[in-house]
Amino acid sequence: MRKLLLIASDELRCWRRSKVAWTVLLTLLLLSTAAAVVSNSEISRRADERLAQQAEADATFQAQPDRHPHRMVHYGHYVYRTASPLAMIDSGIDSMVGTSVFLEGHRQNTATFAAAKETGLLARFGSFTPAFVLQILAPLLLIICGFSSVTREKEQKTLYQLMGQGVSGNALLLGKSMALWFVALIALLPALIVGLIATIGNDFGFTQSLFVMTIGYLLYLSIWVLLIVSVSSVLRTSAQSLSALLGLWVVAAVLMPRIAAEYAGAVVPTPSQIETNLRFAEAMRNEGDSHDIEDAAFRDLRAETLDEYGVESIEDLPFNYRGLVALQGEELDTQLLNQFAEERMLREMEQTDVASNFAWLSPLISMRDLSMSLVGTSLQDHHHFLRAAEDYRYEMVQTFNRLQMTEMTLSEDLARNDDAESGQRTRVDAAHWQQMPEFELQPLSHTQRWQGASKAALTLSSWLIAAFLMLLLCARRVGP
Amino acid sequence: MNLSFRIQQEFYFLLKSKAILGALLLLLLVSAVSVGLGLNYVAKERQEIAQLIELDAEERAYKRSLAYDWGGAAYDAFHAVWNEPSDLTFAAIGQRDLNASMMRIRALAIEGQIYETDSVNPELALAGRFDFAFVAAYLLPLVILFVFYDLLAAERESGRFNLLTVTSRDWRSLWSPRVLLRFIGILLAVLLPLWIGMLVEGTELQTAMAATFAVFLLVTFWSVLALVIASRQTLNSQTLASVSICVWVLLVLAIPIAGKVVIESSVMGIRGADVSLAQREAVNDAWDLPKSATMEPFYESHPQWSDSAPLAAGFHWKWYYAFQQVGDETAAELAREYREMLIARDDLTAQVAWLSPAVAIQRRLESLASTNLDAQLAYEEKIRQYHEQIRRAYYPALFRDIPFSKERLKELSIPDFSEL
Repeated sequence: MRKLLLIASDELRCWRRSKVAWTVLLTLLLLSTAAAVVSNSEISRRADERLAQQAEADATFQAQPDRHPHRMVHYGHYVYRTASPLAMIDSGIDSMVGTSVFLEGHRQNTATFAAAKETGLLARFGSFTPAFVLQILAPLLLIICGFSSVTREKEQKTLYQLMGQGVSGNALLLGKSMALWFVALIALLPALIVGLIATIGNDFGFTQSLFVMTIGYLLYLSIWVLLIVSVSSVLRTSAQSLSALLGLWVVAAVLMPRIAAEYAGAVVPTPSQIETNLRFAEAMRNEGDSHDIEDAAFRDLRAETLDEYGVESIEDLPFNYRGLVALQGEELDTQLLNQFAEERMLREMEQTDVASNFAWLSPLISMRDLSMSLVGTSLQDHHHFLRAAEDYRYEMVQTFNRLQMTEMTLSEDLARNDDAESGQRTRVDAAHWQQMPEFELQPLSHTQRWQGASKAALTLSSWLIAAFLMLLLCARRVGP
Repeated sequence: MNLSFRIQQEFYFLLKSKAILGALLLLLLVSAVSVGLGLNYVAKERQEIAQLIELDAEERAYKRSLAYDWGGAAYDAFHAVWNEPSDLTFAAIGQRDLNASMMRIRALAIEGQIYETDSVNPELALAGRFDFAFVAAYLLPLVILFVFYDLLAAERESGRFNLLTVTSRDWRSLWSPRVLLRFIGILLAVLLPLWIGMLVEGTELQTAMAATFAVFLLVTFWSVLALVIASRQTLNSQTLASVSICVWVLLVLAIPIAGKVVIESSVMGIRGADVSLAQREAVNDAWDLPKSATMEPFYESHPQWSDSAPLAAGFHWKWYYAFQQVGDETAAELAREYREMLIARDDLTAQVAWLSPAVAIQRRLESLASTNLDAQLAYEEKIRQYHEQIRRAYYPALFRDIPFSKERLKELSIPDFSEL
């Protein structure tokens, strides 16, 4: 152990003399801190904006006057997606997905106004977040620091002296790794601090997630450290080592994510939204129009209801039959809508799963998946939002339909357009909308987030073990 | 030593140098893959559009067969609109994958329809596309830097430098054949697949030449930069490599991302959701207002219908469509401001392009491929025009109170989007 520390401190001393290493260290620390600060302000600005928009939407919704409840079904409501409190560390898909959904009866609308569309071309260049710095830039800077860690000893012929003094290959490579590892630790600190501040006083286990994620980043950077030292130990010259490592980095960090995405998109194609809509319209043909109580699709409902209440005609029912049809219609519509929506989400999860298999080729992909899942900015979280919005929509619409059923008689409802007075009679007190619970998105729990991250955790650990074994293997070849 | 001999000699060196040749072949490969993926993307999109047009017509015919009044017929009749990929889209897909390239619209307020998005898997979209523009912006500079960064240092470190300098007649004849040959190799490796893609797509000659020229400029820029770095005689090759990669990170990653932060925080303006909110409020308020509150402004902006029969109590479709139109007119100002916000951000992106060749080449290619913001806004404008046509097609029947019949509905023909 003392030998390891000695080698590590010697390596650090060597960097202290070289300008390059200093610049790299400083850049890394600066970038990491700046990313944490900038991203923090950006994400909190976005969060405030959405909160304000949600408050505005809630206020206009609650300010609606007395109305016929079915008017409110079509008036609908807007809900906004709130970002995870840790999104400042890894904004993940946040900018790629729409921020708001318009909820109304008979339809499921898509989430619209994704930030990426409003930013334009630059959106694809990445986000200035700690995750970007740690996943993409830190490995590069580690390479620049460490590519010559062993080749330098060879080129300066100091390697044999070291070996002669009884330093084993293992000790040499592990010692060099420790020095680089120290750089990785420094890079991690700002993100951890910002994350801790963000999660203080937050439930849903975000602090837990933050710690697991930090361990993930430690593993990830360790993989790079081990790879760098291994490569440096097997190649003859520093120039070769640098080219090889840069090549590795380009493949792992620049090429692989895009290849994975293209491949997943090609292997698991998803139908376009419009095709889904058309297929839905076709499936709806048998469902009937719930605005029309004479629609053949509701004949059974009528017979059953009349039977149940032992009355002859729908006029004799103790409630407004039109409301019941609306209730039933929405239920059937929603079943079908959800079937399509779930199918789509399943497909998307499959795509993501296929893409995540590329983690076996690039540790960046496992790190990215792990980070997004734990932070709460992954596909899983987007689907969670869509489902929550849909549940809210369904509850809202059915509340209105129940109001239509109970708050007026059928004859009043049918006569609502005859004159102003009849219209007045079918209007329901606005207090009903004011009492409607507001939409509140509960984030997934730590366990759910961890489940989403488990596959990435497995690939990442495998990478670490493989990299460690590789280092040991290389260590045997070091020396005379 | 004559020039042709020198070139032959350098060509031989190039073939012998595994690293350089490998880099060029790799460039050729990724360029080819990107073009292949782009062609595939475009082909799939065309096929989807063709399928949509068919399904759309069928669904509309079905809905029409159920119609029993004009207003209901218009309400149920969706019309397909689509954004046909251009002959260069395969090379620069741009934001096409986020924007809905197909939609179905109807005679209701357009501001409530036009912002609908296609659902894309955000995790895949986040990675970005592997298109030619990506290769040109990210990978091409890396290959160029790799090919040139140790041009002098390699010779010096192998101890041949002084010998070469002393024995050759002049500096130019020594280095220019090597530089030229590598430069041409890079150009061919990146452009050959693009040209093949252009042949397959039948790209217009002018567009093809403009794209080629843009790539040529890009290769020249990076080559000059790489040579400037390489000519620093005091640095050894690994320092040169570190410097090169830092320059790449700065120009390709750091500046665009910094630009993005600046753009997103400086140009905020109107938010998209506000536009659709405004439209919805206008449309929904109309239900509770006296009908004259809708009809008066409507007849004022559309005097040709002002002699329409007065409205009785209760629901009437012409009132319904009038407040849809008034809703659009109410939101028009906000919608314009929203577009201006997008344009302002795009203008700032153009400024960033002066600092980053990666942004510049992407913008240029997207502009040639009609996948940039201008093209998207033009497409939206076309949708608005088409929507206006759909709307107007029903107005005579609604405002002249023409009795409904299936035969008359058949006569009411709305041209296809492609005929606009």
